[in-house]
Amino acid sequence: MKGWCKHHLSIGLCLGRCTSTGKSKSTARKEIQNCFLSLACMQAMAEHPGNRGIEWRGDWYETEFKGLYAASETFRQVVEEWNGPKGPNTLIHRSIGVNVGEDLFMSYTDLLIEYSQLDVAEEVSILLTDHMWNIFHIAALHGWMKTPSYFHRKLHDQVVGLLDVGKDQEAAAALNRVAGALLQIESGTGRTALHTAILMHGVNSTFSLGLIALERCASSAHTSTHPCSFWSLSYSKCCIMHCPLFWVDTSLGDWILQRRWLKSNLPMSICRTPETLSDTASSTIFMVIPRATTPLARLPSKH
Amino acid sequence: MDFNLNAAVIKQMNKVVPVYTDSANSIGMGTLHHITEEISNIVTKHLFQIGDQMRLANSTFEEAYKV
Repeated sequence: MKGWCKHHLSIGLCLGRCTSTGKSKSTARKEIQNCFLSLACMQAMAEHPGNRGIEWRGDWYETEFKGLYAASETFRQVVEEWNGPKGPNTLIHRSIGVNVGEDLFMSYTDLLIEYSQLDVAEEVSILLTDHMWNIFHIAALHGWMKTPSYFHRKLHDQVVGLLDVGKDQEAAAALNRVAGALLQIESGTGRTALHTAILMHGVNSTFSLGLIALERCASSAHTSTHPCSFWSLSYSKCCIMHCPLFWVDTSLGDWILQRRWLKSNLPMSICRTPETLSDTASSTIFMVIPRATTPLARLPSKH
Repeated sequence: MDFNLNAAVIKQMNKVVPVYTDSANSIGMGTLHHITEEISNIVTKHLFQIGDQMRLANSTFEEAYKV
């Protein structure tokens, strides 16, 4: 839709330019016919450097305002606040724009799930060809903090719906796909979405905790061998350089025991190479997230 | 950008099939990728303009949007 409007506006501008110089409409049309669309765009943009030659002439209120008001809770809050006694604010926090975008994303996804049979588990595991980002990577980069919890709820609904009709295998497959999506790494830095989330927003951010909860939901339901959530952070130079994260729960005992325990318990799908857990890998970065259940009890005692 | 228009279109569709998605290999441009690409960051810029307009014209949020 956007591209269509852009091209037609460009042609319109080009037509206006030609007719304003005294040429007949037929001459102008002939010029356009002999002109590639890209050239027409460039000519139009050159004449309007301020707004790149393309300016929306439609009705912002009927399109943007009503659309955002319907889709975004954050936007409705801004409207209510600015129409209130305090009036408009001169300081607009960055999170407002970010949250409106996130609200839009969730509203669109809700619609697609309800009306277009969107398979959430399948969609979240699709990687972009260029950067190998799945939607969790993108959400982390955008700072969409509520998105992991949102997908957690949607996955739960999807799985419960499948189990209700006796499609146990499909439910397990959906969980597997989401668990796989959380292990997907981007091509540039080799980071999972959780790596990116922790690097950008911190270990205890809403985003990181939401992803961890989602991982537990996706993995614990169909596997009993790795009930504890362990994530080996990438030990690429880039990752270490930008985030010397070393956060290990001290209740797990000393580091040697931790390493042995990790070595024997960490899923190889998470630990991409055995070298990640070598004894000399001082540069290896781990984040250990203990659960309150049995895994900690399995750790051999120091004494 | 027009959410209501897009919502009306989505409600008429039975199934969304992205063109550039290879679902079997989990690679391509997924539906969710399409959505994130369409959501631009012009909201903040418009809010600044609306705030200015509201102060200048002593108008409501909605009236400022209509200008």
